[in-house]
Amino acid sequence: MTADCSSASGTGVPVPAPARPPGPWRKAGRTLLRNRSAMAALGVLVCMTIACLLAPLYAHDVARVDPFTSNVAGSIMLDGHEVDIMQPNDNPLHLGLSPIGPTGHAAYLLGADSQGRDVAARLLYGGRNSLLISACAAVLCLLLAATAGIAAGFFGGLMDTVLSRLMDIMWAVPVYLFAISLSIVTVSQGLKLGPFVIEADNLLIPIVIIALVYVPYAARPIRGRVLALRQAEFVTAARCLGVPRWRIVLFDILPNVMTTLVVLGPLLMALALLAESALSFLSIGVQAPAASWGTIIQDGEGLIYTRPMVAVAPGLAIVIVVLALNILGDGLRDALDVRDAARRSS
Amino acid sequence: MIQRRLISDNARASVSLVGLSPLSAVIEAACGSRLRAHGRRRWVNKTALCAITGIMLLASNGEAVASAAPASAPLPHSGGTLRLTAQSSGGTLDPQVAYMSLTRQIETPVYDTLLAYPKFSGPGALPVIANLVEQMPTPEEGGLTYRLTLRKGIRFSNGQPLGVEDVAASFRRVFKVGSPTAGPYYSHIVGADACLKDPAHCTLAGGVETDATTRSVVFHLSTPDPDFLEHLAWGHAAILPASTPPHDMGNSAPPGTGPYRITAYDPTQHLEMERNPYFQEWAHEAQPAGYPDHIRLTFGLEPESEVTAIENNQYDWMYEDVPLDRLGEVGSRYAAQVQLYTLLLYYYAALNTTLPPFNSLKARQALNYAVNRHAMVIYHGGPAVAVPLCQLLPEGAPAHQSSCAYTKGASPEHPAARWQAPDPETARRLVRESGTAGQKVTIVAPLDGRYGSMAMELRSTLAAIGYDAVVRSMTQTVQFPYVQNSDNHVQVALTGWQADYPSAGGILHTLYSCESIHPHSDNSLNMSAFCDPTIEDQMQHAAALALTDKPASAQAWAAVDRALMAQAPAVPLVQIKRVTLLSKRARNVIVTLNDEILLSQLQIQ
Repeated sequence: MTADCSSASGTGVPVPAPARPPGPWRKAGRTLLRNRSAMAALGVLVCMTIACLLAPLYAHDVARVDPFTSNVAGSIMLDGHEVDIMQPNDNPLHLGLSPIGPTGHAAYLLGADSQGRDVAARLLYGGRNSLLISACAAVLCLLLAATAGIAAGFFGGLMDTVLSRLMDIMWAVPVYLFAISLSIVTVSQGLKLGPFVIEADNLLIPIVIIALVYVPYAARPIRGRVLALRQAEFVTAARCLGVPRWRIVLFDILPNVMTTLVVLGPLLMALALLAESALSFLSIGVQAPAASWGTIIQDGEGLIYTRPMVAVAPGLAIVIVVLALNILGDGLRDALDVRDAARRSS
Repeated sequence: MIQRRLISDNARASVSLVGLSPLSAVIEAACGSRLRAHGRRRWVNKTALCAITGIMLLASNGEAVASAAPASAPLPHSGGTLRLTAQSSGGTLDPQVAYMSLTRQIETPVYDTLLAYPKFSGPGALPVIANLVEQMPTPEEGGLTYRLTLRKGIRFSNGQPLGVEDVAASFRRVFKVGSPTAGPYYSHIVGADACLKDPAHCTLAGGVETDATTRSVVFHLSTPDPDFLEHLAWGHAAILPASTPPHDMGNSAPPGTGPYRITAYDPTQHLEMERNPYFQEWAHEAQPAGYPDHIRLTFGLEPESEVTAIENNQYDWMYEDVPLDRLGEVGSRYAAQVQLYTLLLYYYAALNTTLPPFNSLKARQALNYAVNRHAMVIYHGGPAVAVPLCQLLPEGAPAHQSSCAYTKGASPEHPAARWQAPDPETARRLVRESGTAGQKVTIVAPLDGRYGSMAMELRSTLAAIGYDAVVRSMTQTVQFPYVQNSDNHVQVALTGWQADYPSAGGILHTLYSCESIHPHSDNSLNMSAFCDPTIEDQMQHAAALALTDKPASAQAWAAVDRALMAQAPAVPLVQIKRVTLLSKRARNVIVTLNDEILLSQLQIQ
């Protein structure tokens, strides 16, 4: 007869292994799933992203338009009739032409802009760029902020002084002014970094600029969190045991900062989306003929009296996405923030 | 010779007569029809005749005043305050420095030049007429000497009489204050070289001789200047009191001789004008008395708001163009208040003839064939507001002869009368033959909305004929000097041009002469860097003819225009008209070639 470790108690009744408590991520996921607002926001974001990803399909197979080529002298077939895309205004002096308004058909569903391009198709293509830039900028910003914040908070001393003062200087410059200044310099000539040349119309330029200007805003809370963690007992214990500092950072500090990073993510993405739209509106973000929601608003600025949809549609898209990101960010904070959870439970 | 005007300041000139006062209509009937009947030959004598006829008619009505008594006689519908609005001020008020169209337009009834463009001239470019001088000078010694006699009894708005010393001092001051056109327009005067080198000690010795007893002013030129009479009529040659300080007067307006004087100016808020109590009308055609008692110009409204304010009768005139998205509205609901007139303003793409791919004639011609000028017209508000332009001399300019070498079914050897449609097939063939297909082309354009649309259209066109085109946008004040500098290696520069005065030589010589190329400089107006010795000789010949035979000179300049287009150093795109909105109470709208709407002639009902 072989010994059964599970019956070591001698009762003869098998005892089930104690259920492993769910990890903090799983708990957060469950909390988030119960948050209807956050889930609705996530759903909106997913839908918007999928719609924007399908832009080429919509433009080429549904609307059958080229959203990047001027088409003011062109026409389309609507209900069997050929209709000019730029339509003469009905006035005795024959002054001005207005782009076709929302047609209710697949082609030019939301009408045309001042260059005769399909607004709906450009809206989807613009969304691709806007969402891509804001997401990438948020991720890059978090990477830079995490590096700076952890380095400043964990190592302290001179490193903390230098990094913190650098962040203070960047913080002191208004974020949009900072972004506009960097954009003007890079958009006119592109960016030359040694052997690497980034053309002025490359999306990397707005991504890097937007990421840079928001680094202080993310690095500060991360540094604060690391300062607190550095005094934690498990970090002290690790130090006493002679664990190398890089291991402490990677395996003790970073996992505990991750929740902060995840909470900051959507909020930074929302800020990045607004910044991207502002820069593109000023013609120093996404460069024509590529579209972003900011450039489409700029296109619609001159049509605000006659074809308001050109400016309103991308404006609404920005509002919806930013709102959704903020609600999702709040949901993530509720789900991940331990202190907040403690407060709620008490 | 250089005529420079940034389109950014909405510089404009006009060529059509929109309305006439009863008296000016009589003058027009008396001399306008005669001019049309006999063509343009001996134009100087006929213009003088018209001016004399006008003065006689004025005298018969008892309105031509020769006495020195202050305050002019009341005029029909005179009185009231004319309310004007502009988005921003034009900066300095110094008439010898200001180069903004707004300031020029405002100061037309404030300052006078020795000669002037006729104020009731009708459409077309007409020659200058005598203003402060008794009659038009005749070039002597092969165009090296011009003798003029100053009129009697003219006073500045401070009461000081106008004398010949004021004339000499004013021309010296042009150099002392560093007038932007001192070099380009007045360097032919003897002594000008020394003045340009040392403005503070400018004397123009031997260049401007005066005699107070005979009131004569004699100009001596070192080399003939075919446009010298036009330069005497240009605003920077305004005659000011000799005591005017030799520096930019900024926000202070020196006294002038016109029917109004500027009484207050705050460039952030407003400008006020009132009648010059010492003004006596001496030449109705050159400087007519004004109708409103006061003129008030307010700064700060956006063009959209300006339109709304005028629709609500809160202002009588706006400086800016009616925005494109308001054209339909004003055209339908306020058509009676709209003034529409042609400008000598056009947009074009300068092709750098020293850089690939446009160092190839076939590549340049290809783009000229391919570009859709109808689309360019649409970007500016449609056919009522703009016309396709297919040549370098715009419609309304002297020597303009309508032709289009680059349209479907035409060629430089067999040009059509006007542009019909793009010819992309020919364009693609020329690109293939040039061996430049696939090359990268950068279009440098200003950020402004219309420029942006035109640039995108050009990009699409270039892509359609086989190039890899991109647009680089920058603010207009940066773009204009940037595209002129050869160090920036600009392949295609999208820009606009408006001459200070109508002159074929002024436009073609300035923009396409070898002399206009200044490498490594921000001031090289020949943006195409185009230099063709044969065409240069043709230009010299046409300019020389202008001194002796104006019609022959016009023919020669028309030939230069065609020869240039055959070489296609640029892609002319579109010529635009100005759309101005006036209030319901504004009447008697008179538009002139150089001064656009004559603000002093607006009557407030």
